[in-house]
Amino acid sequence: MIDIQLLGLLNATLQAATLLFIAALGELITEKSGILNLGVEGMISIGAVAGFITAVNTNNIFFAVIVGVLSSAIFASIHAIVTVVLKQDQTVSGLILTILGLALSSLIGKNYVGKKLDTKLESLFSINDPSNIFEVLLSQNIIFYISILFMILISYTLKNTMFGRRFEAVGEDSKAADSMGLNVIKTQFIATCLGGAFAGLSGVYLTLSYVPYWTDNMTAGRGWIALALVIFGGWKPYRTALGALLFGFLEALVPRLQTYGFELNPYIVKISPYIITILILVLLTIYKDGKTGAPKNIGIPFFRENR
Amino acid sequence: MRRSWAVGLLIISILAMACGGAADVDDYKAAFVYLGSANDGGWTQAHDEGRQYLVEQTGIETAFTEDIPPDATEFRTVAEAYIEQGYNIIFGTTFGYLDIMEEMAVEYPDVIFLHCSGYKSNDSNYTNYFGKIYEARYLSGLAAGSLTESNTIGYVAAFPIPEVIRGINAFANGVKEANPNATVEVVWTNTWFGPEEETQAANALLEAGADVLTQHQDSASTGIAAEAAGAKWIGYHTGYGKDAAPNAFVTAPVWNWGPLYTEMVNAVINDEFTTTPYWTGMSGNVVDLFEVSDDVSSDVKSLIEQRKQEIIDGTFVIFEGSSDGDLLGMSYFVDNVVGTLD
Repeated sequence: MIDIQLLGLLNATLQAATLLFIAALGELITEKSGILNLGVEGMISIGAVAGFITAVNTNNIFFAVIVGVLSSAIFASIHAIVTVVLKQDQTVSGLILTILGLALSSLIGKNYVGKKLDTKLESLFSINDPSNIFEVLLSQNIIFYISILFMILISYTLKNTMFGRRFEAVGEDSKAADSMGLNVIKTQFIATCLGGAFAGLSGVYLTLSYVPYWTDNMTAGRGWIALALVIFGGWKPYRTALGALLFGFLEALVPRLQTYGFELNPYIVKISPYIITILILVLLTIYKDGKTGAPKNIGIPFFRENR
Repeated sequence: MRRSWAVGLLIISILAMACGGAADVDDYKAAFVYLGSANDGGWTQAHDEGRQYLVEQTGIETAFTEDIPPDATEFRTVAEAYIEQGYNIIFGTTFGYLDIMEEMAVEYPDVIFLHCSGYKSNDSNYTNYFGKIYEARYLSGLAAGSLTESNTIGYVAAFPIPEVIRGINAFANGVKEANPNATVEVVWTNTWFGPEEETQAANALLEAGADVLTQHQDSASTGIAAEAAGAKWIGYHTGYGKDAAPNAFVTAPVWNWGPLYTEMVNAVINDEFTTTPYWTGMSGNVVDLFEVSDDVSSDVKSLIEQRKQEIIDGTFVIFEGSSDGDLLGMSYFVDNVVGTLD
C-alpha cells in the first residue's frame, strides 16, 4: 500500500511539469529555427485568458482549447512579423510580447476574475481517488497525454523528417539553408507561431484544469521557467521533459514536506530552476567545450543580402 | 485701475469662502491608490466596496487607480497627479506604500495621507489604519471545528509574520472551543498571491487528511481545490468565494472598510482628525464574518452569534493576557496548530 501523500506528490509533480513542459516544447521548436522568443510568459497568459473566457461563455471545453491555442499562435505572429519579416531585435520584441501579453490578458479578463467555470477539462478516465501509481498516471488530464504524444512526435519529426530538419537547417545556418533553396522566412514564421500555439495549450491547461479560474497574473513566472527548461534540456524534447519533471517535482515537494514538519527554504526552491540551468551551462562549457546544443543562428536575423 | 479692484475683490471673496463658514464635503476629494484591481474578488475589492460606501454616506468626490505596485516612484506619480487635481485625502491600501506616504506627507502638509496596514504616523497629516480580522477568524474557527470529521483542518498561509500567525492562532482557538480534538495544519506558500502555489499547498493539506481548509491568501485557489476534493472551505477578504466554489464555501472573515472610511473622512471634514492609528475590529464594524452556510448546525451558528456579540461588547477575549503590542509581534503557535516556524 503506497502512501496517499506520495501518490499526491506524484500527481502534483505531473501537473506542474505538464504546464512547464508544453510551453517549453513550443519554445524549443521556435528556437530550433533560430528565433528566440522571450514572450512565453505573455503567450501563456493570452491562451489562458482566451480559453477561460470562451469556456465560461460557451461551456464548450474543446472549443475553448482551440480558441486559447489559436489566440496565442496569432499573438506570437506579432513576434514573427517583427523579428522574421522586419528583422528587428528578438530580445526586445520577446520582452515586449511578455509585457503586452500580461497587460492584455488582465484587460481582457477584467470581468472574468473569480468567475466559476462550469465545465473543466477532465481526465480521460474518471478515477477519483487513485490508489496506485498506475491509477495516478491514468487519472491525468488529457493534455498530459497529448504532451507525451507531442514529445515523441516532435523529437521524431525534428530528427527524421524533411519537414522537421528544415527547422534545424535554418536555425543552424540560415544562409546555407537559403542557398539550398529552403524558405527561411516561412520556416521561421511557422516555428514562431507553433511556439505560440504550444504556449496557448499550456495556458488553457492552467485555466481550464490545473487552477481552473482566472485572475490577473495567473502565470506567475512559469513562462520564464519554461525558457530555462529549453536550455536545461539542451534543445532536446526528452531531456526537456526530464527537466520539467524535476522542476515540477520541486514545486510539488515544498508544501508536502511541510506537512511532515520539514521546511525547505522556499526562496532557494523558487530560484533552483535558474541555478540548475546556469550550472548545466557552466558544466557544458567546462566538459564539452561549450556545446550546449543551442542553435548556432539563434537571435541573428536572416538577411539574404548579407550572404 | 478698475480691473485691479476687481481682482482684489475676487481674492478677498475666495479667501472668505475658504476660511469662513461650516465644514463642507465639497472642499474635499479623496483618492484611493490600490495594489490590485478593484474587482479582484479579494483585498482590493474590499477596499473599493469601502470607497463606494464612503461616497454613499458622505457624498464626497472620489477617484481610484488600480494595480499600483508597492514602489515609491509608481505611488508618487499617481498621488501627485491626484494632488494636482485638488485631491486632498489620499488612501494607500497596501503595506508597501509606507515610506513614500510618510515622505509625501512632509512635502504636502495640506493633504491627509491614510495608510492601510502600516505602523507609521506623524503628528499632523499621516496615519495608518487596519482591522482586527483575527476576531472574525476566531468565529470562522468555531465553524471549522464543528465541521471537520477527520479532525484535521488545513490552513494555507502566506508568510510566517505576526499578522498571519495571529490569524492562525485566533482561528485555532476558535477550532479548539468547538472541537478540542481537532488540529490546524499550516502550510506556508511564501506568497500573498500565487494561484499555483496555493493550489499545491491546498492539495498537500487535503492529501494529509484535511477535510476543511482555510487560507490567508489573496486568490480563491484553495477553495477551488477544496471544491474538487469535496472538502469544505473558509475563504478570506470577501464573500465572493461563494461563486468560485459554491459547494465548498462555508463562510469567510471579511473586511468592511466602509464605516471606517466614513469615520476617518468625516473626522477630516469636521476638523476633528487626529493621527492616532485606527485599529479596531468587530466593535468598529471594520471586520465581520460572512453569512455562514447551512453546512454549519444551528447550535454552532448561535454560538458564533453569541461570541460575536461578546467580542463586540468586550466580554470575550481571544488572546487572554495579551496586549496589543504582544499581538502585533506574535511569533508562536498555540498548541493545536501543527506547522513549521523558524
